[in-house]
Amino acid sequence: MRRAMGGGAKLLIDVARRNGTDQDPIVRQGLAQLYTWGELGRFNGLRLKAAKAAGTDIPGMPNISKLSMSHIMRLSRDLGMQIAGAAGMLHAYHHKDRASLESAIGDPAINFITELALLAQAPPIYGGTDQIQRNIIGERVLGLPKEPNNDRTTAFADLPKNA
Amino acid sequence: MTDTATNESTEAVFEELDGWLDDNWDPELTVRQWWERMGLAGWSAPNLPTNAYGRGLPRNDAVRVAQAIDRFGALPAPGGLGLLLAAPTIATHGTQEQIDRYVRDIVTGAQSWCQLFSEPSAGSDLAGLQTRAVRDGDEWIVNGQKVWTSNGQKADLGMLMARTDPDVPKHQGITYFAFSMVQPGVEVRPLTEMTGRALFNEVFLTDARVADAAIIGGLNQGWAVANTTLANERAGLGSGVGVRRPVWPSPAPWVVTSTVGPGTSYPRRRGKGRGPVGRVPVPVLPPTVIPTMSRPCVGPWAAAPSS
Repeated sequence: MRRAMGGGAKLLIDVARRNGTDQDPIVRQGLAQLYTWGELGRFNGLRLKAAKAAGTDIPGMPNISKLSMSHIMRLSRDLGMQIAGAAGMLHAYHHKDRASLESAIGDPAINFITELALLAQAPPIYGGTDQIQRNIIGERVLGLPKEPNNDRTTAFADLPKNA
Repeated sequence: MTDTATNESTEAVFEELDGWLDDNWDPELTVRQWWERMGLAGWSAPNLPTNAYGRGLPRNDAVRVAQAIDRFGALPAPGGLGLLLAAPTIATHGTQEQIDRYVRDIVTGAQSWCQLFSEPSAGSDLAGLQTRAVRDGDEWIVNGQKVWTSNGQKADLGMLMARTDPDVPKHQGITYFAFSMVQPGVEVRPLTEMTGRALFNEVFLTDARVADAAIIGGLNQGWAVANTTLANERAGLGSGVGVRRPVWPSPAPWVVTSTVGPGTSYPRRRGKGRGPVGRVPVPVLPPTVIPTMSRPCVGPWAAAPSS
């Protein structure tokens, strides 16, 4: 995953260089941001590895990583669409259509950018939403009080439920 | 034990592996035959304890074993959630009988697993799950709905968390079952995303059955058992084990599966010894996309154990 974060920036940088959008100051700024977030993720990964090797831990790091990943995906989506331009609106919904789309667009990497942009909505939701991650970071890292709750003392049958 | 002693014993393991590969790897074997050899020799999941078809190696060394096998040019171990999650969970909480029944088929790639944890209203609050299991003689009858089930359409078995006692607080009434996905009462529906792909499934359980003997870790002890699964999910994430690149061309190559038919031959990608002799065209998504699409990557945050 850490490699993927850096790799995400590299993919976009390569496409931007190929289609000239790397000369756009807004795009350059976005690429620098994406690269920085990727590097932050990498360094945090190294920090965690070092902490684990020393027998300790960094509280909340999985939650921080998850939040970062969501942010990186959103950033990649917006930046990717800026770089891809109109071609980014095309997508091969089936694998077999990919080759013809690639030849039409002329840059296979744009396919991936579109795929990434479509997928970018998912990470902030799945695996614990961004809001849930912030709750956990608030409680376990910052030491804020837990939300009031009786669900550890009440029988499950008596708890309010959805559906 | 000193560091030196650890290193020496570790090096002995890698020497043994080299010799074993020389003696055992044969591209003429079917995948099933190869995985049977590999799994029973303890090389599929060397991080598992020795009574669970492993070698009790630390995870870092287990990763090095996988890398060494890859470098040698032999077909890698079966992947999937069975090896990554079910096997270490059963090795920790299961009886020896359960280890022999389930883990053996995992390390030899004979059966694949999926994870039946999340529900439409129990994701971040996993302990709020509502799938019910009600005792019926020496079986349990299961009703409920699971969601975000990777590999659900292909799995032989599922790691099922179900509520077995609703009259106690939520963490205390959950049981962990080794649940057969191949039975009436199990309906798997793909969830098509706006990318056009269906990586996840919904699983509907209607009067499905599971034996009392398939309870892992004891009745109403499921929360602790699930935390072992989730801890392995986290560890697997860090090591790359279980989220490795696909080794087998399949309709959905980014979903790592672990089951092959008894007669399946592996396309001769590599010869005996080192170096590729041919390439199998395996369509893969770019590495930038695969991790975010992998359920194993997000599970750790789905149900962080409460402190």
